Amino acid sequence: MVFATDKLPKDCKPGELWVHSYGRTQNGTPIWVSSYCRSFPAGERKSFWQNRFKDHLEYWPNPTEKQKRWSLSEREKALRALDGIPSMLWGSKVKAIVRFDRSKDFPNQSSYGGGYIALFDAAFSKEQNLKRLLTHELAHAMWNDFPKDWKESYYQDTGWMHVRLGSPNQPPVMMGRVLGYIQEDGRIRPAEDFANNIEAFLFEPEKLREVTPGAYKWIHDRFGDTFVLR
Amino acid sequence: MFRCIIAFSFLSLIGAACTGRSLKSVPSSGELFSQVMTFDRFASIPLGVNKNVLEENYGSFKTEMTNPNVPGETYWILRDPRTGYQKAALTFDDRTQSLVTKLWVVGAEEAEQEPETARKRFKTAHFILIDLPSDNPHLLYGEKLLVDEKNGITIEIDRDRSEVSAIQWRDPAYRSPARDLGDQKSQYTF
Repeated sequence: MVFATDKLPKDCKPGELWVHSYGRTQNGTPIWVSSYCRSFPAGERKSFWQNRFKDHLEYWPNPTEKQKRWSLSEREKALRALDGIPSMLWGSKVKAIVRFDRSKDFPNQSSYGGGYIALFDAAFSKEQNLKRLLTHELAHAMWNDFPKDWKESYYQDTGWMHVRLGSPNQPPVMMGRVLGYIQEDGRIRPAEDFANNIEAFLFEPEKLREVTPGAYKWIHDRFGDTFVLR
Repeated sequence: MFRCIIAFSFLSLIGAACTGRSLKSVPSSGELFSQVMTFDRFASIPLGVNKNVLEENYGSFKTEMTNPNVPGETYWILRDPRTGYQKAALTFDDRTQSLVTKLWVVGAEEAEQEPETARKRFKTAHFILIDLPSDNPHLLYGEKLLVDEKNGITIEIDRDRSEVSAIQWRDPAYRSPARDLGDQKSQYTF
């Protein structure tokens, strides 16, 4: 649902944080809150992520992945990387960033789910671009929380169709465009496609404009010219 | 030509007045869409019906397409002319020209968005909840599905927003060539 009062990320002034629309109940009545820009003072900006680094979670769905404590240098490295990512991606839905040793899907470096970003040892290897990795996971968080109209609009502009491939009791697989994926694994799911495209918009915009012009335009129309790395 | 149109319109007016019928204008595509594309009407389309039968009501909203990886099936993508967004899909078996699956995209304004409301729409169905693990290492959780295999009904639930995203009906006896394609192990890059 998109209302005329909805603000787009690009409508927010520098120093403001975009909060997208959401539903909630008030005295038992469902209401819809339009997306808006809220003030985001420098002090809060500084503490935004610091409060989200966690050393321990009570529950993690992959039992073979072991949590570990953040080292000071890793925390600093991650904070620097996050500070360089535009705050339009700083979804308040991200509850915590957690360190793990090795992914069950090694060499996977990071995962997202349920408001938690997991960073594995591989994320801190020398050749890894942590800023890029975190951009990708924050894009997943944003996608998961998008209202339906935003997703439908993305499907329309990037050639995803509601035709289901696969067995009925398996993960629903949508039919995607034939060509024009910035990364090959984007053809598997719109969620992966979106995260790849946000990542490319910030790190390789010219390549995205050439390979997937529909995605470039969709992102630019909503996030605007100020959606760039700091 | 102009004169003929006036004459025709005038006669129509007289005709309508004489018969007591009101003049009915041709509905716009948006009006027609909102009349035809309601959940109840869509749900009542019988699986197995011939493609030609559906042409009259749904033909004007369709984009017909095929997938080279799925030979033997043709798809109708039905879009809302007011938004351009897809609202439904129909799948036809090329061999018999009959409808084998149909899918309804549940909008934010529809009551069926609430999983329990959607479930109650199928009074005789026996759903089981399938809590799918993610097949993507970047994502921890998969979708939730309410599946009635016997009747071929699947309700897809967006886990993060606890909303129904789509409802699919399929002929339980039909084995789609797309089935194997979608079930292939996904390959993610790191």
